[in-house]
Amino acid sequence: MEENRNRSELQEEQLPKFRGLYRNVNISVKSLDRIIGVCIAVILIVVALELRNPGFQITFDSRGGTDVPVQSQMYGELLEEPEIPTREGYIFTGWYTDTSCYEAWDIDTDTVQSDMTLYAGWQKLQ
Amino acid sequence: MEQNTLLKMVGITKTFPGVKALDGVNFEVKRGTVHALMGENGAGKSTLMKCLFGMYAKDGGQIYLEGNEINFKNSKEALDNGVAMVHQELNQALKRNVMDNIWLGRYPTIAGITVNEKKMYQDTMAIFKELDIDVDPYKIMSTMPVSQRQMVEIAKAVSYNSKVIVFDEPTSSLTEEEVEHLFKIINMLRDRGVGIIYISHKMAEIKRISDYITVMRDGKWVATERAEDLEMQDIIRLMVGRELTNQFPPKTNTPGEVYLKVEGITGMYNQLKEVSFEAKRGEIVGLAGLDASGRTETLESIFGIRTRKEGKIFLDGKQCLNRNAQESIKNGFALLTEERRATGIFGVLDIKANTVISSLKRHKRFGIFLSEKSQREDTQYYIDAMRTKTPSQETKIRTLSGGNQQKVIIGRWLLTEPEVLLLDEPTRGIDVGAKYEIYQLILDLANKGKTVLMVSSEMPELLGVCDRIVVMSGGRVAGEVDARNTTQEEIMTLAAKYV
Amino acid sequence: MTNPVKNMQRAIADYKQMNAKDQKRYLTDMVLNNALYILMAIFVIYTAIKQPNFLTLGSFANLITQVAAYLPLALGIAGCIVLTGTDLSAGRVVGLTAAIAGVFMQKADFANKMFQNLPEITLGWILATMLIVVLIGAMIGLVNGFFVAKFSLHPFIVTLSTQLITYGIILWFFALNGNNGQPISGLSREYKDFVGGAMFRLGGVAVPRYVLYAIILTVVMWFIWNKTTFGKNMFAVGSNAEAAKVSGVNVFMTTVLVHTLAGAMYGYAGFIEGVRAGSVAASTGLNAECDAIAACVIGGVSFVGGTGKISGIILGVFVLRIIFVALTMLGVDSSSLYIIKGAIILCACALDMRKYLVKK
Repeated sequence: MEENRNRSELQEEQLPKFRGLYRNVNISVKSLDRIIGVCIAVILIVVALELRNPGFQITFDSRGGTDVPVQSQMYGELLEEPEIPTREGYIFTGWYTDTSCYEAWDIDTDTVQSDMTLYAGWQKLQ
Repeated sequence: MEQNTLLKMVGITKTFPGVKALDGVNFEVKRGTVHALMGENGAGKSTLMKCLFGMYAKDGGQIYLEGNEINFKNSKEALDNGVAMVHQELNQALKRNVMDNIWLGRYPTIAGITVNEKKMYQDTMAIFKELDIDVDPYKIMSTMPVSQRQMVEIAKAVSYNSKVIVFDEPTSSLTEEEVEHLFKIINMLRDRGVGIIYISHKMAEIKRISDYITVMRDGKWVATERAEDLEMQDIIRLMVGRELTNQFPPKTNTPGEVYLKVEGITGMYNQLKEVSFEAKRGEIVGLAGLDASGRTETLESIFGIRTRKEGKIFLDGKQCLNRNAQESIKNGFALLTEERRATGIFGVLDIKANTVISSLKRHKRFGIFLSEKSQREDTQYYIDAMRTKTPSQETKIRTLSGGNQQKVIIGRWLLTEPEVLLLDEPTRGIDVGAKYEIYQLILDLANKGKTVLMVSSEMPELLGVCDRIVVMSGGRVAGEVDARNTTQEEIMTLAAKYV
Repeated sequence: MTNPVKNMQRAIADYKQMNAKDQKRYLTDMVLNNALYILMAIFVIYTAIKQPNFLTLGSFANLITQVAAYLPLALGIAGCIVLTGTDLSAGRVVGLTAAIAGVFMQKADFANKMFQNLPEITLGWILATMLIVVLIGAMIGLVNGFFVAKFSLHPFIVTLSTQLITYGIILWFFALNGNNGQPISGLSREYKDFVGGAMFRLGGVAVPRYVLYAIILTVVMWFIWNKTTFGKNMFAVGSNAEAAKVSGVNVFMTTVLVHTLAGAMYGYAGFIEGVRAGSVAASTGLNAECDAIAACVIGGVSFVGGTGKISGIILGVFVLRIIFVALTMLGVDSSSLYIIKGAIILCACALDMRKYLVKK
């Protein structure tokens, strides 16, 4: 058994390093370690930079109405009541997540999940 | 001649996690000698060389080159210091020409900017003339046969003024004639005072070419002797640690009536031309010939993985189409390929998967479900029957030695219950001890009435195992001889018929 | 060998035997080989401190919901990776099938309904729609597989082409019937219930039905990978296509089928995607393949081919999702998440190679 183990591990040593998609790769463990280190560092730096100014941007597209300021909120929080935009000849019907104004955003219950844009819904005055 | 020490390795130790791959190995090469390094696969020859070239960092011991301690970090550094290696698998820029390959990385330049082609050509020719190599320096590597590429590799080693040159299995893909030429070059290098380390499995060659022989076993140094003091049997005994009485098992098979008939196979994309022969039940037919004589192509054409332009195959009088491997397997053919690693094993898969892949139908239940139990049973049966040395069925096949891998693949084919076995170099790269077992297996199959076609480049093997030998030359059948009363000379004469 | 406790004991015993230098190397190896798991642990701990509602049942429910959504793609793409290939068209196929499913499943009284004369939304029509989009996905996979197998083209090239072609079709589709590129919304209640209806609640967060579907799919895929001739052939082809050919495996069929199966998985993923996002836009599914590939590589479905386990894929998807859920709760926005995703894929590949490199 011990001899066998010895033999098998040695056999493995003699085989070419890679196949498949890595077939032409020739790289040392040291370089790989560096790549891993750099990748991890990049991830941590990006996260650190983000954490200095955390939160998600919620943009309001008033679609022809008066401008509404952008809000910044954390994950899972409610939106602050945005000001109601006005537009001549139209009545504001609420904020929607889609441009066809079908999926309404409920200011009181819906929470922020990511960056997003809300669209103003308008109804034409008769 | 002055016989002072050129390269000296003292107490080299290398440990991999849990395994001692090299255990205090001593090795010494004298100026102007050929020193053969022998041992079974896994004995530590390659590991020792990798430590020399810095591909592995050794854990203990010292290496001295001409009395100075050295510690190469990579093979480039070794090359710069006069230690070169001619690899078993050549690493060359195949799309570049010969001299580009020789001077790669150190092109002679004009004013350090443009490459001085003329000087490069002259230098290359000078080396070729010195070594008596007849190769055009402008030829593209990929258009040349392996033997010539190897010559280029040797020329490269010489161009670095190497003091020590390592040859790792240099003759494995050479013809007799090319081997002669190689030996001439090696002798020439020896006379110039180069120390040569020669790694090979082939006893006859070793006896011929080397001055000293060092045998290794299980990572340990076993013996170093003058070559003339060792008989072939002694070397084998030292290598395997026991006496091997016979190289070949006794022949016990008796051929029956004609079973397989091959008629006029002509290849679509290869050199085969009107190849015809017959084979009987229970007969072992050898296919002899030089490299590129079409032996492998013949087997592969019969098996249907090469396109035939013309030709028919009859089994027991009935024609088989054998258009692809699936069909051939159904018709009772099995093909053991020459390049075990490239076309035989599934390296990353375990022994079980490697064993059952060709016979999955046997394990099917209810049309789709594969029974784990019956797969395990079949695998275990062939592990036991072939005495395959493996820790478990779940062991990855690439971790086994060449001989054990070969046994697994033979087991794979036996599970398809073949009637005709096409074996292409069944013992290539296999230890002496394991070879005997493979021969025994082939004979056992013939005893059971199977027809065996066997290609081999080792003449003694064909003479020792086969009943009849079909000699091929230049894609054609040059003749047939009875293995019992023929000589190597007769076969070689036939093999050169259409070259 | 298989006893983890004994393995552990042996590892500790081995460790004690080593000298100081080896011990240091051993530890570095340990840290590097598990770099992504350690990274995940750091994010989890940091998030748990900053956001007390991170370590709650509710956020666990959120996690498994996300895993269930990303798993089918990873299961599909894993087959391509086992064949030493990959599939870049996955995301766009999801986009196309999501759009088709969305259009079929729009509310009857919805003002912007793209096609008016569709059948009423019944269970039968929902199932038929699912079947149709799965078939469409499979068709695209079939095309991928055919070109990869027949012309020995690299899957990168083939799937890059089908990705572009599929995107073109998506843009056409969104311009049909004067829709003019508007997102498809107004999905019917029945469709939403069928896919995303709550099975039960964990910590106040609903666990949708597609979690159950994902479990079923996983079981089916496990069966296909481990218990069928096709699965065994797939690993053989991925491990050594030449040897597979000689061994009598139909390499062409296997390659085509692997890609077709992958395509079917994308089709299913598209079917649930509309409900998950609430509406389908032309950009739906964009870069979804990146998440799937990353998850596979993290989970040990290696680019060397021929290796991989279903359990590994699940683990990979979990690791990736845990990292992203944690980062989202910390308030890291999606543009940065792309950079992090890229770095994770590179890192996972380097780790994958490291595992196969000879230890010096």
